[in-house]
Amino acid sequence: MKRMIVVVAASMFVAGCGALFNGGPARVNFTSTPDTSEVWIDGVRRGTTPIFLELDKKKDHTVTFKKAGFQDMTNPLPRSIKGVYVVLDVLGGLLPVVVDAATGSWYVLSTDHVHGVLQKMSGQLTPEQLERYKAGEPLSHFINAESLVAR
Amino acid sequence: MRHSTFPLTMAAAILAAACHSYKPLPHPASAVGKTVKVQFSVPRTLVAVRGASGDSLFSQVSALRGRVVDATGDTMHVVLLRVTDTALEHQVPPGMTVTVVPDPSVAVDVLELDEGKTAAFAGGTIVAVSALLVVTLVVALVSVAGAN
Repeated sequence: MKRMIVVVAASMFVAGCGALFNGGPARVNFTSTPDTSEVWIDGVRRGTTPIFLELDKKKDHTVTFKKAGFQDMTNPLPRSIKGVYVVLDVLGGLLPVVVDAATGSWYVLSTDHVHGVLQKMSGQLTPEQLERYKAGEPLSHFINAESLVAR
Repeated sequence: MRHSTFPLTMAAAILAAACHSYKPLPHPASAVGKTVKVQFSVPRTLVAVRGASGDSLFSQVSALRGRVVDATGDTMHVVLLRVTDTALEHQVPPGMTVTVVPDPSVAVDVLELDEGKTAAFAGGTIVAVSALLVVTLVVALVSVAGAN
């Protein structure tokens, strides 16, 4: 009887603890080639690589690496549901399911390490772009317009 | 007696371990005497000092675990327990100390009692034991009623 109590109690602890282990923001490691690239998360500059950043795992993110002389690289960083927490919550009863569904504790980010490989700008400006560049227009305007002419 | 208490002892040990978790380190000084987990954004070579027996090099270290023995400013001296390189986690000989300086590319977590988990475990214990007592009581009452 005592052994059964221990087993049942332990099962309930584990079930109730499933989502507890997934609390707080997600820590993601950002690295790049070359290094010291800027890391922009959802349009906000957060630092330069290499860097660890803590992100909200309850929503999808967009990661952009930027570095002078290189083309920007943008990638999605989506969230997903970790099934094991859902199973543990279901085993634990109605309350854990309700709490975790409401707080989004089932979610994790798709990866904990994002590595960006930036491509060096290889091309030349058209005469018109060169004039605009000399007049002070940022080089990024031409890159974003995909108007570089390949060598 | 020893046999009958083993499951309870194991359960208590599991619960005690589960109530601890790694949390981001607020300041190196607060980690003295505690176990820390250090992750490096980019693997690096570490020099471990071991008293008079000389230094040891660990290459391509991506993470380590150890106990903080001293912290001065932002610098921590950590006695190594385990070192993870790009392939595997290794135990290291006792007494090796490395110097760690946290920065944005170094994530340091400290092993601490998690109040939230502890409260949840305590609540879970109360609920579980209460539920079992109620079920046992109901079964006993039904048995007595059936016997009468």
